[in-house]
Amino acid sequence: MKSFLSPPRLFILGFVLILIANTITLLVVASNRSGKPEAVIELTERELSLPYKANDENSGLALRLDWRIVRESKDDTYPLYSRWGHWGSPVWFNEEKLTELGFIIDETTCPDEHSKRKEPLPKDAFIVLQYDGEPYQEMLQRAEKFLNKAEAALKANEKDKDLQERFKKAKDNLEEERTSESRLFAIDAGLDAGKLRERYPDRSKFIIMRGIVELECRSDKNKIKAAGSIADIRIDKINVPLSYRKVFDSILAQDRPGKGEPKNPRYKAEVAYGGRFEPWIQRVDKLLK
Amino acid sequence: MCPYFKRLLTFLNHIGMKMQKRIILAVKKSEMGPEEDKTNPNSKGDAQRRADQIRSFQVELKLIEDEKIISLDEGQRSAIASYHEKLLSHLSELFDVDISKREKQLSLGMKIASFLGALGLAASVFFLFYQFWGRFAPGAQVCILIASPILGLAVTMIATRRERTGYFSKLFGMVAFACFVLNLYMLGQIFNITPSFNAFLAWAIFALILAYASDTRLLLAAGLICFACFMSALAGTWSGIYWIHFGKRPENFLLAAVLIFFLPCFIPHKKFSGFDVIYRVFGMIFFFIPVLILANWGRISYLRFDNNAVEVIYQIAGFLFSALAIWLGIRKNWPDVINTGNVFFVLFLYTKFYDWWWKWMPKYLFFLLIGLTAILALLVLKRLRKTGTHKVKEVPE
Repeated sequence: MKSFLSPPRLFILGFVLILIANTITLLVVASNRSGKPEAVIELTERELSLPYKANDENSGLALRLDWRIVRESKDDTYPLYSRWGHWGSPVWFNEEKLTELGFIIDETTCPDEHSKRKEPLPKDAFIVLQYDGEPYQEMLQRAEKFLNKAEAALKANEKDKDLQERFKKAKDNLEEERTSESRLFAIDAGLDAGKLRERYPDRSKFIIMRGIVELECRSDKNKIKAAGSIADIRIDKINVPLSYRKVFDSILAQDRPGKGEPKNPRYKAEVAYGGRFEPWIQRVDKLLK
Repeated sequence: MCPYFKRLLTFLNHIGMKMQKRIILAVKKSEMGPEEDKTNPNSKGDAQRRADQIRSFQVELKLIEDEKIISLDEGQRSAIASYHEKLLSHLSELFDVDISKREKQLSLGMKIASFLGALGLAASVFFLFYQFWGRFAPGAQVCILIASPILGLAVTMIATRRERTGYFSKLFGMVAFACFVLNLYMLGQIFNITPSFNAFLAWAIFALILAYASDTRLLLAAGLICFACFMSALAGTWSGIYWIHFGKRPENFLLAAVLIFFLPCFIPHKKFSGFDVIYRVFGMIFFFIPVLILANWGRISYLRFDNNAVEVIYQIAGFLFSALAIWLGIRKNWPDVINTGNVFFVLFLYTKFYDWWWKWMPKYLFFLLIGLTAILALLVLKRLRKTGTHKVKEVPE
């Protein structure tokens, strides 16, 4: 044991390990970026946002991929809580989709008795994100309907302060939906990336990414039902290489738009996704005001 | 004769000579009495124990002579003194043991300073890179990231060769490990690589290499933590979980815990100070913490029974295995296993008391019961201790 684990041999092993680990990592990068990219898409600040707060201790910069989902809306309005983020269940993520993704749906999945319910396990899946498509139009329509309803309610009772506030919020929401909210929506999930690409062939509008899906037990009309949700996508931050830093540094040097000011996107970036569905920035352009 | 055949004969002859030498050495060693062999401790820990034993003997001998129980003549005294002197200088030369009380106190201070220095320098490496990495092009970033663990390892290697105390090699070893963690993590960030649990395996192997090369328990602990994370993530993927969520089923840690606990039984670690203790304690931690969690939250178990039933199963397992650990510790003379078993037995007991009584019992009564159980435990342990002492008296040396 001692002779095998003699320090000189161990140190040599250590050097070899460093080289092997780095070689494998760099080969992984090369394999992702070699050949024709899986998708090339042009996104703006609406979908690729800068960090909210600058970190003095970290000189690196990464853009966050902001993506959304269309949740179920029973009265076709545009509830405020449904605007942001991707928590909750997308309309398309039903029991059938869960079964397709390998979740077992039976009487033990979401039992009525709380003591029998198990914490669901997240699974690996491919997620399809659509840029500026029907889901975005759907959200725009919902925002417009919400504004129309708020306007009608205010006209019926113009002095009501709550209704005035609601109208103002609905107007701001529509404006933000038109100018600054992300137009990237998760629209499907599957286990086979090839089949998903066949279904969504436009590589400049649909991105396929690795993500994590979960099963949730939700109560619906006094009944517990299984519903799917996207816990996360694996790579939601894209590193900005030094060659593109100038554009962002000049933007970061400006003040952020204040409350009520238009929040038009200030830059656009071309992002490529490689064979391993890992992204990198190919081009960055500053957008004129 | 064919030159290749000649070479083969020479090679075989060389191997034969080597084997002959090894056999002679082994025979010599077996002929050597156990008393002689004791003068060559295997590790620094053994050497330090021997040095402490000599010091205690010297103090006790002086007391016995002062009390006039025995009296050694000058020749005997000088023979013992010269033997001890030679032995201590031999141990000091080989393992740099602390011979005087003052040296021991300073050594403790150095250990603490080395530990804090290692943590500080490792953290500093992380923040230093974060502070400046954005100013470099990807090529330079990659070069710096690969060069830093290589440099760290080289400095550790030089320190291990040049400095016998090992404080600096341990310190640089920790820095080298931090550099390697940073290396793989940051490459992932720079190139937006999908995180993989294989990184834990690479970190575990690297930490273990450094731990064995520089005889550092802190690095061994870091290696075991990384190894447990890798094994748990791997176990998680067998059930179809995305690896980052391996903590969602604490049972994923159990296989790693068993492997880590029993490893020193198959691979002896006499040459490394306190390594087997670290293996056993970490094995127990990786086993009992998941069991403790599952004993309270049955809904995160793989077992498909009712959650309450799952909790009961793990509560019983917790009591049973912690009691078993105490028994095994006493039987094998492993104080570390006894103490860890005790801690977890008490934890299982008190969490159960909390479940049963906290809500309906007045607080003074609850704490009174805690106090009474502690007194009961003291009485039981005292009885066990007495039985142990009697047994020692009965058995002649």
